[in-house]
Amino acid sequence: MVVMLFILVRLFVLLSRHERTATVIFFVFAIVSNLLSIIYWLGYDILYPDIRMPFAANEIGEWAVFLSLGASLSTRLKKITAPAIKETIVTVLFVSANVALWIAWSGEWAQDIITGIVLIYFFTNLVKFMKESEVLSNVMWIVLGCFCVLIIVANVAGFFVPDDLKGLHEVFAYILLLTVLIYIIARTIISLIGKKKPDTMIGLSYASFAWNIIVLYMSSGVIYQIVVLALILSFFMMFMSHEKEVRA
Amino acid sequence: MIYAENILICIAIPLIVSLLFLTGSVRKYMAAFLLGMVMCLLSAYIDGFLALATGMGENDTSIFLSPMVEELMKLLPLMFFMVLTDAKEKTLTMIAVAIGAGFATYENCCYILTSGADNIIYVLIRGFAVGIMHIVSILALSIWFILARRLKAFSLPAVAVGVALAMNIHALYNLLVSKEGASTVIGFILPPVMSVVLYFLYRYFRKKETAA
Repeated sequence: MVVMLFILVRLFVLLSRHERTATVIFFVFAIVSNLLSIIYWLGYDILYPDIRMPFAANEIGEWAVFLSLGASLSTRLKKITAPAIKETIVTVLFVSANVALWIAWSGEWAQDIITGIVLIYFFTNLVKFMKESEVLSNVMWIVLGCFCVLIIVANVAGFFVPDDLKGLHEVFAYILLLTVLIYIIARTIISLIGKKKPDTMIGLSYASFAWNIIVLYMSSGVIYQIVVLALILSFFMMFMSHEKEVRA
Repeated sequence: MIYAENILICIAIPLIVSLLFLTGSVRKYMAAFLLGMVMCLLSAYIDGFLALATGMGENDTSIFLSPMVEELMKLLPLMFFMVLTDAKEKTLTMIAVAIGAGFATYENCCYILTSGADNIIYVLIRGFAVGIMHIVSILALSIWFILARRLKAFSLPAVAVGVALAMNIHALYNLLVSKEGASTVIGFILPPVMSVVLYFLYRYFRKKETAA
């Protein structure tokens, strides 16, 4: 919450001194939505600590974050025709497979399907933007696609693995998820330090947030806490990439 | 139990008659005010239906369902007006304020008839908190729509993001006032504070635009 407030204040200062673009305005909305979502969740936890929260406004806040970030990227897309049909299809299939897994784990049909639809909007815009601005090489797209397939296969296998192998299987699944996460975060940091093109910084920082969400929804326990920290870092990196672009 | 439809008819008839003698922006304001009241009644119907369908109690309905339903219902006339007419920015904010005011007025009437109006403190809190909250949430939404239109970013996701924010603010207020104690005080203070912040932000950015 403190990080979100800090980013929000810095964004307002930035907007008051520089030109206001749709990309940054949508990013401000994403931060505000996330902040409100956290406050609501915190408020509920304090007021009703013993009652499990049903579907509530904080989930709508999360959808608003994904929609805002997707809309933020859509304002930067230059071409009208889809430049990344193969990648977009894989993205839609990957998110749909994720939704199926969430439903299998939680049984919350309606929320998971709507979250999936909103995430598809965000992810497809992200992939189109990354492809258009050549953030990743063709080889890296293939490697990323292979990781996506492996992650889905590993998680589906989780339903059939015998109990004595469950621990080993979990480690394998986490290694796959965290490898991609570490790679994207590292590349984002390098691009931010190395003053790369604004599109590269924005594409990578948004990708780190997107992958964080995938890992977050698939993890639990200590790993979940670590991924929450990584998620805060990715929010900060998104802000840094926008700040660098606006100031340039 | 109150007869909500009868209350609406009773309040609406003089306002409808007054429409015949009004012109220009005052007429638009009055029509939007009436629409706000109708939307409040429809929201109550939907809330009641959802509460029965999900088996939620009165408190849970107010925390989880009402904000979503009410903000969505307030959005409908605003979107209708925005999409069908090429409204100027000033007209749009006026319509938004009128819808919010109509919604809040009718809701306050029903609450006062249910709970009584003998306690002036309660009546004042009700007026300043809920009354302002309905106006602030839809006014913020209309300002966002205007901004998105100016930036050529007015789209379905932009509308959804705006409504989601309005729902969140409304839900946060309902959550805070749902339990007695410090949270209630924070909840009651929230709408007036937000209206002041919104007012200064609006003025600040307008001044910057005029200067540019």
